Amino acid sequence: MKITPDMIVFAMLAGMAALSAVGVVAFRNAVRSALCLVFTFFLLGFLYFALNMEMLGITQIVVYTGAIMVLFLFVIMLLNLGASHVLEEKSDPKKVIGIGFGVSLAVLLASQIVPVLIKVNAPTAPEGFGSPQVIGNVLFTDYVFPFEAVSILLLLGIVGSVLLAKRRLS
Amino acid sequence: MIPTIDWGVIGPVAIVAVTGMIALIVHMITGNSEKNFTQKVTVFGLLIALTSLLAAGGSERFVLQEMVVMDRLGSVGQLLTVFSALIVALVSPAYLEAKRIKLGEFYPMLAWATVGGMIVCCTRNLLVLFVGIEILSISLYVLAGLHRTSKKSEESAIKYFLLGAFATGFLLYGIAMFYGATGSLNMSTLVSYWLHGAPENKILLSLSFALIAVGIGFKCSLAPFHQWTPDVYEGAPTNVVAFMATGGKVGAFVALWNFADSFGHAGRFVGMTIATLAVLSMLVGNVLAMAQKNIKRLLAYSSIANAGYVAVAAASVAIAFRLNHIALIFFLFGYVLTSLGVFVVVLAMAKDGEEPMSLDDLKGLASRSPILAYSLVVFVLSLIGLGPVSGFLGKLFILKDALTANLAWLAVVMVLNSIFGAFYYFGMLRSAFAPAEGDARPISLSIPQTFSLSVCVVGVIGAVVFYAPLLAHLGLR
Repeated sequence: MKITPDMIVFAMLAGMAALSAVGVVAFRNAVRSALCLVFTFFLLGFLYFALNMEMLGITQIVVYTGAIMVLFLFVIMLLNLGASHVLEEKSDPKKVIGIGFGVSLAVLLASQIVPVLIKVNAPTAPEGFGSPQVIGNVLFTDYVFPFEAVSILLLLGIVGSVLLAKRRLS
Repeated sequence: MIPTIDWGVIGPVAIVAVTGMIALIVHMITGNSEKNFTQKVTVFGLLIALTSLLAAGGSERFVLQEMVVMDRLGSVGQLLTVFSALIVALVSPAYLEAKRIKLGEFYPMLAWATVGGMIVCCTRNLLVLFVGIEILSISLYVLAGLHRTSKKSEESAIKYFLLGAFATGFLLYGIAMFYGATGSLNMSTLVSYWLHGAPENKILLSLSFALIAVGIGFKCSLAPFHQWTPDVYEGAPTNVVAFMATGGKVGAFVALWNFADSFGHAGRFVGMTIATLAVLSMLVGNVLAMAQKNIKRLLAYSSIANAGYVAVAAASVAIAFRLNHIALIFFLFGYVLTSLGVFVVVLAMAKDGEEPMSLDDLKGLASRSPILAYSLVVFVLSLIGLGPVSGFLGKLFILKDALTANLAWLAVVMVLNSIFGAFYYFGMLRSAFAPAEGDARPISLSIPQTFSLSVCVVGVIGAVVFYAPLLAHLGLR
C-alpha cells in the first residue's frame, strides 16, 4: 500500500477524532466531556471536507457543532453537573440486559455492513453526489412536500415553546 | 424539473395549514377579544377544508412519487380529522371560558395538529409519515399543557412529551432500517423485498417492522404501549382530549392499517404480531376500564380497547388476500362521531371552573338536561355496538374481516370484549339517570354545542339508516 498525502491528512484527522472521542467517555467532568465532543464533531466535519463531501461537512458543523452542542451545554448548565460523584452509577441488572441488546444489535448491523465493505477497494461516489446543488435540487423537486411540511413543524415548534414559556400571565 | 402539483389532493392540507397561520395573525392583532375572532377564523377555514374534501372525492391519485396518496381511506381519514377539529373548535370557547384558560393560541395549534393528522392519513412514504406524526404529536404535547395553572395538566404534558419522544426514536430507527433493507422509503417496495429479498434483508425488515410497530402503536395507544393514555387524558384540558381521542387517533390508525396492508397478504408473522397487540389492548382497555371512577380515565381505557379493534382489522389485512378498507372506514366513522359526542356531553357540563370528573358527577343528568342524557344513550349504545348505530356496523365489518383472514379466535376475543365493554359503558348511563346529588340546576346548551351534539347523533344513527347511499357515495361498491 502506497502512502499518499491524502492518507496522511486522513490519518491525522481520524486519529485526533478517535482520541477526542475517547476523551468524551474518559473525562469525569461533564464540561470537559462536552468540549471533547465539540472537538470530535469538528474533526469529523473536516474529515468530510477531506473526502470532498462539502455539503456533509457543512451540515455536520452547523447541525452538530452548532445546534446540538448548544443543547448539550444548556442541559449541563441547567442540571449543574459539576461534581463527578453525581455521575457514578451503581451496578444494575438492567446494564447486563442493555449490553446484551446492544451487542446483538451491533452484530446484526455489522453482518449487514461488513460483507459489503470488504468487497470495496477504492470507494468512489458518482460525480456530484451529495453536492449542495444536487441536494437543493432534490429538496425542491422530489421532496418538496415533506420539505414544506417541515416548515409547519418548525412554526408550531416556535409557537408552542412560546405558549409554554409564557407562564402564569394574569 | 419542478413537479406539477395536483392541488385537488394537497389543497385541503394547505388550506388547514394556512388557516392556522391566519388564525395566529388574527390572534396577534385582536388578542383575547370578546368577539373571539381567532376561533371564528379557524372554524371558517376548517369549514372550507371540509367542503373541499367533500367536493374532491373521485378516483385514487398518487402525487409526488406516492408521498401523497389520495385513496378512499385517506380521504375519509382526512375528512374525519378535519371534522373532529371543527367540532372541537366549535365547542371550545364555552369550555375554555368555564375553565378560565385565556389562550387564543389554542386554535392555530389545533389547526396544525389537524395538518399533521391529515398528512399521516394520505401517505405511503415513511419520511412523510414521520414528519406528519411529529407535527401531530408536538402540537398535542403543547395543547396537553395548555391549562397552565393546573399541576395535572403540566404533568400530563411532560409525561406525554417524554414518552412520545421516546416512541418517536423507535419509529425513526425502524424507518432507518427499512431504508437500509429496501433502499427506499416507500411502503409499496416492501412486499417484493419481504417475499423475494435475501434472508439478511428479511431479518432487517422484521426488526424494522417491530420498531415501527412500537412507534405507531404508541400513537394509537395499543397495549403494551398504552401507559401514557389514562394519565394524559386525565390531566389535559377536556377539549384537547376530545381532539386527541378522535382526530389525533385517526391518522395513527390509518397509518397502522396502511403499514399492515403494505405487506400484501404475505404478512403472516406481521399479522400475528399485530393480533397479539390487539388482544392485549382489548383486554387491558376493557378490564381496567371497569375499575375506573374517573370519566376521562374511563374514556382513555375505552379508547385503548377501540385501538385494539382497529388492530384486529390491521392484523386481518396483513394476512387475508385483498381485503378492502370498508371495515376500517366504517369503524373510524362510528368511533370518531361517537367519541366526539361523548366528549361534547362532558364539555357541556363544565361550569365555573369545574367539570365532571367522576362518574358520580354525571348523576342527575337526565333531569338537568334530557337532551344530553338521551344523546349519551345513543353514544353509549354505539360504543358498545348495540342496535342500529354506527358502532355496531364498524365492529360487524371488522369481525367479518377477521373471519376472512381465518382469525376466528381473534373474532371470538373481540366479541367477548365487546360484552365486557357493556358493563362500564352502562355504568355511565346508570349515573346519568340516577337522581341528582348536589348541583341540580338545569344545563343550558349554547347554539354551537346543540349543533355539534345533533350532528354527532344524526351521524351515529344515519350511518346505519343511510348505509347503502353512504357506501355508494364512498365508491366502495
